[in-house]
Amino acid sequence: MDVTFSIALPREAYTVAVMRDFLGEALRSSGICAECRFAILLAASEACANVVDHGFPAVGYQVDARLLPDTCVLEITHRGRRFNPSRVPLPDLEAESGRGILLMRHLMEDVAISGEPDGTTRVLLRKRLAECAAAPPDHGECVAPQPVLH
Amino acid sequence: MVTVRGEIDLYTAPQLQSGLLNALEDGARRLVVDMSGVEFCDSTGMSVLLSALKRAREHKGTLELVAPKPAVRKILEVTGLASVFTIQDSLDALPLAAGSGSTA
Repeated sequence: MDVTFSIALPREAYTVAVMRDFLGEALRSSGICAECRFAILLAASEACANVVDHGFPAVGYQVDARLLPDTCVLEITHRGRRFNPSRVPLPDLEAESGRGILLMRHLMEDVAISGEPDGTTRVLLRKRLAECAAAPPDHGECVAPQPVLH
Repeated sequence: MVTVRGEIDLYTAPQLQSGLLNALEDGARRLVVDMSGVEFCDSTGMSVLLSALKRAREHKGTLELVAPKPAVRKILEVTGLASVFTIQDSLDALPLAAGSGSTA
C-alpha cells in the first residue's frame, strides 16, 4: 500500500526528532527493514538539520514523503536562504562539519537540491527499497513490521 | 566514563558537548564514551565527538568510543571517522585501570 504524507514544522532544532518519530513510524508500519529505516531517517535528519541551521529567514519547513512499494521519496522544502551544495567542500578527515551532504549521498540513491523561481529550496531524497525487500533475515525482514528501536 | 543514551542530533548535541567538555575540564585525560545506548547519531553528533577528541588531544589525552551499535558504527566508517577514533567493541575490552591507562 502506498503511503503519502506531509508534515509542516517550525524551523527549530527540536522538530528534527519530531520528523524522525513520524517518518520512522510510517516506515516501520510499512514494513521497511531496520537498516533502511536508519538510512532514510539519517538522510532526512541531515537535510532537515541543514534547513534548521542555514534556512534563515524561513520560519518553517515541510517534509513530503511518498512510500511506494519499491521506493521511498522524500522532499524537504523551505523558503529560506538558497543552499548551494557545490560550495560545500569535501570535509577533511578531521573537519568538524560538512559531512551531512556526504552522508545523504552515501545513504540515498538520489540526492537533488534545487532552487525554484518562487524562492523555494527543495531537497529531494530517493531510496530504492528493492534490495531491502530481498535482505536476509539478519538485516531485518522488510515484509514484517520490526520492533521500534527506542 | 561518559555514558550516552538515546538520539544525538542537532537538538541534543549541545548537551553532549557540554558533558564531554566538562569531563575534560575536570581533568579527565582518558575519556571513555559508552555509546552502547545511542540509537541514532547524525553528523552534528559526529562533529561534537570529534571536537571533544581534539580537545582531549590538546591536553595530551585520549577519547575512546565503546560499543557503538552497528548502525552508528557504519556511519563512523562511512564518514572515515572510524579511523580517527579509537573504538572498542565492548566495555569488557577496556583495560581495568580505567582513568590511568592510555592507548597509543
